[in-house]
Amino acid sequence: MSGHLLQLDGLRKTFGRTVAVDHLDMMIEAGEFVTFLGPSGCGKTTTLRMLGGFETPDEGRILLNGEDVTHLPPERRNVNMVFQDYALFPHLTVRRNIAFGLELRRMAAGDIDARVRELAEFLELGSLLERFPDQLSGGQRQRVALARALAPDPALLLLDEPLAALDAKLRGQVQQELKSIQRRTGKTFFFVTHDQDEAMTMSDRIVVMNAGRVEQDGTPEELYDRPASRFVAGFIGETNLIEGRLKSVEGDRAVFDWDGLTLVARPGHKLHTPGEMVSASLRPEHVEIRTTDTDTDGSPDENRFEGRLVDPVFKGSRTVARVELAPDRQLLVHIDRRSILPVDGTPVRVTFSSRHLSLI
Amino acid sequence: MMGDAAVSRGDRVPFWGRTVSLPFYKGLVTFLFGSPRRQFWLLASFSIIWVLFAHLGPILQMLHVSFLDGYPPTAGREPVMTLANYERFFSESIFILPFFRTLAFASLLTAATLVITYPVAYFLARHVRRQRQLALLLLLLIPFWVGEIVRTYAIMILLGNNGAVNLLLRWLGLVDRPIPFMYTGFSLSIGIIYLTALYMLLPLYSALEKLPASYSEAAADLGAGGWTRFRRITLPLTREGIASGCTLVFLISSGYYATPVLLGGPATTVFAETVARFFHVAGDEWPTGAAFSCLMLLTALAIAGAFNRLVSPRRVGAGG
Amino acid sequence: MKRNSRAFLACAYWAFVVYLFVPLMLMVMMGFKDSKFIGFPIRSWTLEWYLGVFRDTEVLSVFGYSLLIAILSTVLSLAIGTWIAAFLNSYRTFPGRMLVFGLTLLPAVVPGIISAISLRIYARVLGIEPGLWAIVWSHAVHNVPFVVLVVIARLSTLPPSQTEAARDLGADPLIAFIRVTVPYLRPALIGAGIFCLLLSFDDFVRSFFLGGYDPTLPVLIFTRLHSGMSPEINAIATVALVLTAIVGIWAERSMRRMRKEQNA
Repeated sequence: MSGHLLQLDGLRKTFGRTVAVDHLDMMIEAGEFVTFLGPSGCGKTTTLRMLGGFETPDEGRILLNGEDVTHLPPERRNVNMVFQDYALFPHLTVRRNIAFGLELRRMAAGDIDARVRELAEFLELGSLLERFPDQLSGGQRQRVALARALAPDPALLLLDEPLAALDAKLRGQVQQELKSIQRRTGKTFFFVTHDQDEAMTMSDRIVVMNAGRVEQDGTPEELYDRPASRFVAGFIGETNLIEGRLKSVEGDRAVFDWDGLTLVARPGHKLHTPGEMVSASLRPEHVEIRTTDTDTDGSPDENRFEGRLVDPVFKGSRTVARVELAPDRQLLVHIDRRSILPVDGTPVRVTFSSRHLSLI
Repeated sequence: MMGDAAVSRGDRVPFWGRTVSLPFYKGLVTFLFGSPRRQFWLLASFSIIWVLFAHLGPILQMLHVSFLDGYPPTAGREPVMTLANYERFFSESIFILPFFRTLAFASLLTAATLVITYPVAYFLARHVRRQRQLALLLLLLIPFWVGEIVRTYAIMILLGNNGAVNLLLRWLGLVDRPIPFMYTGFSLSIGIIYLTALYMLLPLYSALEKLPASYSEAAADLGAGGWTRFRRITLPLTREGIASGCTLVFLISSGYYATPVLLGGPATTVFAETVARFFHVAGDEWPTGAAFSCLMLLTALAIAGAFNRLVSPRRVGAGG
Repeated sequence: MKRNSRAFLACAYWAFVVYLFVPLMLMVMMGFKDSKFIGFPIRSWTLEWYLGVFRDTEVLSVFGYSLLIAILSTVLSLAIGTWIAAFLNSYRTFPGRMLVFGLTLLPAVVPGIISAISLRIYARVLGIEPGLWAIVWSHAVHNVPFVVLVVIARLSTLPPSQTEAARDLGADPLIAFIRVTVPYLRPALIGAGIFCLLLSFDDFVRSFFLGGYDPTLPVLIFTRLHSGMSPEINAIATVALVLTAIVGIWAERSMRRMRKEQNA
């Protein structure tokens, strides 16, 4: 028996012919903020619902603190959930909503009061306790839902896209709040979202899912810098996916050929042999742009090309553009306003380090 | 960490908390809702038993009795299956006549109700502001909360020889002697339309209300006149409301018993009265009444079904 | 042209209102006539008939009996109808669902007299004596389809997350139903309940065929009418009318208030 808070063992769930979750294995430690990220239909919500007890897996086990809870109904799991629509009970006040789980736990009335007060203070709901859910704003509802789910002191808190209903401006603020609440309570948060930005902002650990399988499991930095698959590279942030034939691999230098251009990259998670077709991911902000008359010989970057700037689009703090290195070979780049004047057709020199070009 | 601490304090535990901890309650819930399959059977079994037992049962039992040669059973005699009850219907005109009279009458009244209530529904849905619609509709609803018998009685007072209509006619000098409205097809029609109009009005109103005014406006824009617009646009698009209103009114008006007894006369005997007679007289007449009821139910449902099929818009691509 | 059609339609509406109200108003008026003889003109007026209603112990007990039947059958219809609605709403892919749904609505399309007769025969077969419970049962059968339709309409708008949240917080299926689903259904239950009360209180044909020696109010009026019209009957009918109208208007108002809340 290990000390993992949650252990998923070969979890599998099908709906008719569709495989929603395909043999999922995973450990989650206490105090982690884990995010399941993926497009809709990737199996992340099904996983969450199996943890909550709303779906029964076809195969596999769920161990919570070492105890097999796979077939326990939701009311007998020490797990609580914040629903996407919050599911606040419309006929109960905020106070009664928060107390709902406590009333069912044989808690004494006085203790319930104390616990509700404690949570209300923690989540700044003190003045709203006697209101009904339809008298609250979106952000307030979200906090009430959180308070209600935290009230019974669950071992694991499940959050099903709880920010999807908020407008963009509020969402950013609530992301910070949620992260800070998680840090202060020390609770394990199991968060599900399709929004990569949200996942990057809050998580200690991100699990990217696609078509019922885990594509990659790691910290936000790992996912961003060293995507394990083309799917992850494309799903998280903007990137240039470059495909070519591998020429040689020596230590941390992998040389490959991109339709006649030779690139030096960093070997990725998988082992590749020369002659194989490979992909590499290059983030636009890692491409340095200079005018052709600048001297770049002193730059330590291995990859150096000349091209022409096309289609610059002004986006405020930066300009997004493409650099055409050769016909049909373009790189998406971000241009710092201080480096060059982004004018369509300007000849430029691009450089990027092999550290930033990682094979997938 | 919480539950035990709470109990030791001796503080009051809320009702639901106490309930879930009762051993008897726990056992009951586990027994009833132990698995999704049990939950299904719990909900399904009672529902299915109820509709079979209480909804279908009486009809099937009536069908069964209609084939017996005697019911209620007399001691020491087994009833025998027979078709005699049905044969009896076709043998005598005092049975056949009310049967067809009822069907014809119900059909005519349905048509009359449609013609009377369509303008009312149209006015409410099209010519009244949204906020006032509900108030004006409510005004029409009030009389319909009053029961069948009370309203029938009100019609009796209206149409009697000393009733309000005759008083008015005499006062206007149009007649010298009162017109005998009562106990005729006329008084019965007035009474039944009075009872059933709402069942036509509401489906029509909701169909008209759902219809966007822009359709008519588009037709007007294309040069259609008022009557053409109504005939080519509004009427076809409210077919569903017409169908359900007519079905309801037809089925309901063919089933009235007290109103024909009170408002009708010997010349307007409807089938409901014929059938009811078998249940009032002593003796073994129930099977005949049951057989007649079966005939009427079958015919009424068949007519209503056929009418519905004919009038309802066919849904494109909808299976079944 | 447009103005003409509008005027015609307005006339149709108000004529219809007159048609609906005048008979009832005449009936109410006739209850004040100071004569045993029903008919116009009314020359002198009296309150005697109305006061008589409240002195007539038979009439009062019949009122009570009708009310009792209405309440019992309404409670029964609500419980059964909600049960069936919960079943039909939860298992939308159950293969026999359309059949069960069709059978649920069956009593609503059977013409009144046939419904009454089939129930009379059935009661006999089951050994239910004509009387209170036979009437209550027949009214419940007749009302269940309406309850199911109203409750299922409301139930289908209940987000599944509501009961899931209750379960998640420690409620078993029964408590989740009582504490979350039932409050959500409240407007539908009140609306359907009042509709059932009115249907039962006003019902004649089932009460007539399944009743024992004690008449319900419509049956009492019917039998008294057989022995001739009298202002006394007008008074009884008017009291019944006022009672049902009050319940109806109150129901309509509370339904509208709830609809407003729902939209907010």
